[in-house]
Amino acid sequence: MGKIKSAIVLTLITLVIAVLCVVCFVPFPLGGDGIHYFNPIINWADKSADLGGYQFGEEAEYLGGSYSVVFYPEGVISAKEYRDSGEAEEETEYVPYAGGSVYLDKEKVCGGGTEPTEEFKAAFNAQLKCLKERFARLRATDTVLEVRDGYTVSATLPASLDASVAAFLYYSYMGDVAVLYGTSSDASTASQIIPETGSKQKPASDYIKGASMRTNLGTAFVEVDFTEAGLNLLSGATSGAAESAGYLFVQVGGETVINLSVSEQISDNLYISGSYTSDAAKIVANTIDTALHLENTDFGMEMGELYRVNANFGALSLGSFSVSALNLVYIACGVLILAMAVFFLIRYGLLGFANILTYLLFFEIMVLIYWALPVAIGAGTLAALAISSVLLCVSNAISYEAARKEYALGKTITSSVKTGYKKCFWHIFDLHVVLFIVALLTYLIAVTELSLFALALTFGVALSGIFSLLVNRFLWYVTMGLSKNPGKFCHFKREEVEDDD
Amino acid sequence: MTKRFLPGKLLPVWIAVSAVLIVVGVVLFSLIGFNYASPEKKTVEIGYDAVVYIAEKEDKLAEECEKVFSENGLSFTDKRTDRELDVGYVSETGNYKLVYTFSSAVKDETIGNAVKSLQQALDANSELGGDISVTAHTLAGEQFHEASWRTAVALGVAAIVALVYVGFRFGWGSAIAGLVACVNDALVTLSLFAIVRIPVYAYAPVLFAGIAAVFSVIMWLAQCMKMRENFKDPAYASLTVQEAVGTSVAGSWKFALCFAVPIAVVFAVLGVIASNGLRLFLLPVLLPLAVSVYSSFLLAPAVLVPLKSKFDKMKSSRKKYVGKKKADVQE
Repeated sequence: MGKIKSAIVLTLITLVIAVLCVVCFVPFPLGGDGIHYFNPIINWADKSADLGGYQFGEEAEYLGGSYSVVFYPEGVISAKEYRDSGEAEEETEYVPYAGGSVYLDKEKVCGGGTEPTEEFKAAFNAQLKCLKERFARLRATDTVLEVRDGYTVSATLPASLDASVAAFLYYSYMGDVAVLYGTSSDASTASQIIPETGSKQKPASDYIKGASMRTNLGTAFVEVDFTEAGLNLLSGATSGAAESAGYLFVQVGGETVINLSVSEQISDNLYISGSYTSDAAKIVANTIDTALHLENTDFGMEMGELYRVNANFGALSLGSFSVSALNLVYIACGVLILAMAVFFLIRYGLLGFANILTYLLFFEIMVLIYWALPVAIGAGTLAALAISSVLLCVSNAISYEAARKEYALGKTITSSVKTGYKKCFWHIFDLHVVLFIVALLTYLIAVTELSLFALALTFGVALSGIFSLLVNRFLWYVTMGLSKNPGKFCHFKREEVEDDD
Repeated sequence: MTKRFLPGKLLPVWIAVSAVLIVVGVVLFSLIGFNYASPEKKTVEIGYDAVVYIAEKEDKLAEECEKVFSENGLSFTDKRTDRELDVGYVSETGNYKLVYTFSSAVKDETIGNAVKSLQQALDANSELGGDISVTAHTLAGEQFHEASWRTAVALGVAAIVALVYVGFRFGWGSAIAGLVACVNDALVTLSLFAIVRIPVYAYAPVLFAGIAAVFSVIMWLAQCMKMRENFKDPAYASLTVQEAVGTSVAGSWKFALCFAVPIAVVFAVLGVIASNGLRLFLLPVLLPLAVSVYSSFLLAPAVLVPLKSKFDKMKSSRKKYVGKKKADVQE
């Protein structure tokens, strides 16, 4: 490639990298009013519980971090609630527990004593098992479930999960499943049809097999699968729906989780779509299914205050100097990229620029891919980006070394590059194929954080393969076109042959 | 005379090293288990209304809290401010919660005394004013077992499939040697965790075993690539299998370290900047990485030597057999 052509192509590529850099990372004010800002992709991309940051401008919304609540079993209250309600005004007596961190209902929980009864302990264990199953089925990354002070449960979900708050609310519903039907939208006026009331009362699981989340053409819905007995009851209750519309309610522990109007007789399973996102549908289905199949107790559960927990991954606080999580990641990336650039420039001279340009382009495209994927940027995606970055740089170094060896034998630089790439092609190919297989299989089998990491790594490895075999080679030719002495440009040397004569 | 590295001769040594490590690890695991990082942590929460009472006085509040903790000989491992949200609108209510986390080793009594002193100090501090509540909590983490076993299965399956690819590309001897290294690395990693008592989360040993298997495949792949390239060199034609494998392995340390060193650097850097919890995962990753370097340089080449000799013999006898068959047809 000629000098002018090389200069033009390099300028264009540098411009593309600069524009992508601004789009991905650089916020700037718009209009000069100090209110409107351009927010780069990294500011408005979803971030995991480990990573978070504020957007600039009018709505300085915080993205990332997590939401946290504490679930209180019936008869257990927080120290704050105990104090706020006024000890003297309380009708029931409470006893402090865990050093006054929580207060237990003396009669209901402690059976008149000061320690929880065996019945309460069994009920709490059943509630904990149910909560654990519900959160496990959600398969959300960064989910944390902890037993707090012995008899309450603290739960944390990432803010990037669009139905986190609904999950907390619905998952606090403990107790039996019931299906009610009435002519008004007020559930309190509806009559219970499942389980059948009266002397022959059976559990709801005799009428409902289960509930699950399904998707069809991008629409998420909840399927409630009835047994024959359940369908008979449902069909009988809704037989007049064609003449006068009715309302059907599915409740868990007396709280409505599904509410729908009925305009014709129901004689098959329920498929409820409405405005559910897949997460919301999964939450509703999980709530019903676990209430059907896990042990239920007479104790209810209440959701405490909702808190937002800002991300703390990497957040350092050194005296008065503190660095936010996102800024620390920027610093780490900057240091690693600088170290990589210095190494390549020292080892391969100006050829190092080909690697730097290839890498920067790769880095920015990876950020765009992560933003486009339904994943939140966090520790997993950063680790995947780091590993695929190492892979790209190592692959580039392998190709440079292969060409260096060829050049040392006395070949021209063009021939060295061609032969070098030919010789190391299968090394680079094998390396990428093996890692791609590992990443893809891990993504398909694993769940939560590892699955996310593997998905990010799958894309990283694929892109690294393309960039090391195509983009890097192209940029090598382009950058080399600027030099009259390509060998010197690449820090390549000929082998010195001793002349016997 | 140049002394060659003969990996096959040292096979009993490497088997003995691995066996000793694994046996010691199994014994220690049976007796005292892994050094699980306690799933428990202790927190002190200071609840306040940031809008009404102590707007812009949060720094003073934190200062007061840390002074009391220090007086009671407590040092916290983490500090954060949580903001209360309205459930309906997910907007801030103005109530904040300053949360200090302490190690599970701290005695309840010490924390209890600190909470009492802090509450008294805050009530007496007219500058901060307002209704500030101080409570201590103990949190015990629950594990989601599905994620743990699926992780181990995923990494195991991925390693096996990758080895099948290695078998196709570099021969079944290499695949079997890789498999031996994989299993060895997973077991030795588990044993080392039991021996050196590195604290890990309850699910983590299995995860690290899986990571060791994957690292093992990658490091062995690097060796296989180098051997394939070297064996084409005419200088290797005159060498025995033992000498050829030894020479290739001895000369490939730079190539193999190209993979190990950058991965180690990345995990070390991430480990340094990560929060306490993540650090407990990122830094111990260096252990399976070190084990995979050992097995790819020493154990797997030693296993490969007899396998390669056997496969090479089978290959040459099959060639002879085909020749005889062809000859019979011609007759």
